[in-house]
Amino acid sequence: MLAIFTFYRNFLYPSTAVNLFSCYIILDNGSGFYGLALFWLKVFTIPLLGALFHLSHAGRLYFFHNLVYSTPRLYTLTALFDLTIWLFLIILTAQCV
Amino acid sequence: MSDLLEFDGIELSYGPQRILSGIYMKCPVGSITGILGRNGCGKSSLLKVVFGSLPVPVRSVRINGQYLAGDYMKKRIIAYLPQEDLIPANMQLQQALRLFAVDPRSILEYFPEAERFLPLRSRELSGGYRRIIEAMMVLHSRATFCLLDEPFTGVMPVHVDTLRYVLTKAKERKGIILTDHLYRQVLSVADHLYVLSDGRTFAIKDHEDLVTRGYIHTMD
Repeated sequence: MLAIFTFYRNFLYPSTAVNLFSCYIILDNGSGFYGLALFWLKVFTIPLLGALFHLSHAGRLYFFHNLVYSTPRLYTLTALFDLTIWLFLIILTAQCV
Repeated sequence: MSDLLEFDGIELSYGPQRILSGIYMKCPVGSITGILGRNGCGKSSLLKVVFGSLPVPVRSVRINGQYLAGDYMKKRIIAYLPQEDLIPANMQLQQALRLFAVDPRSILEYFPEAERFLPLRSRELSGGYRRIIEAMMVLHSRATFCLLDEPFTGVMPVHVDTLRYVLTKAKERKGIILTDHLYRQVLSVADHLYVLSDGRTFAIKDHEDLVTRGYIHTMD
């Protein structure tokens, strides 16, 4: 899990930006009306960020390969981790409005 | 009986160019196997295929005769030091060691000056220091077999000697395959030697074979 979090730090800033944008939209509207649209936005940006990272850093995954995470496993678990954080923030925000 | 890593039947092509085709190599625990070969002959690709990070249509990698199928990285039997930097640039060395489950003391024992590097990020180290620490980290990982791609490159002579000593100590409990263009260093530690040429491996019996295989002109 520590390895996944370490790898996730590569996406921390853009991913946090998407998460905060989603929270802002929900707060601004005062409802979860756009929840589904925001979900698809998140689902779209995760592979986009992954692809951009992979294109520029594909040779830098050996560290994580040594930690038993093959490339597909690494990206899949990181995507799930990112989506979980997004979901947690959205639920938290929705409870506040 | 000590563990034995064997691989053969590896086919790798880049476009029309066949890189690997007639490979057979074995590496028992307790020995260091050296691979030499010209630039672009496929040494690094071979190590990546054996490690499991480079998928190929055909390969047979076996431990004690047992075929390793699928994603065998997760068994953590084989550790790999790539030709490129291993530790991500923004990661602290002590964090990298923690993730690798390597006790820093096992490195400081041979390389005491590394203590001041532990809180630093990988990118803050010189290439030579980074290389020796990465090599030691792989050698002290829990994997039974270590694949080292150019571990001596960029390392200053006094540290090369240290690394050679660590290699000979590590082979008491591991099987090690290493490749490097600093072939004298490879010759000095290797128990078995292969030359990779035309996609095939050739066992080297004596140093004259290196001349015959066209890897060097003469042996001083």
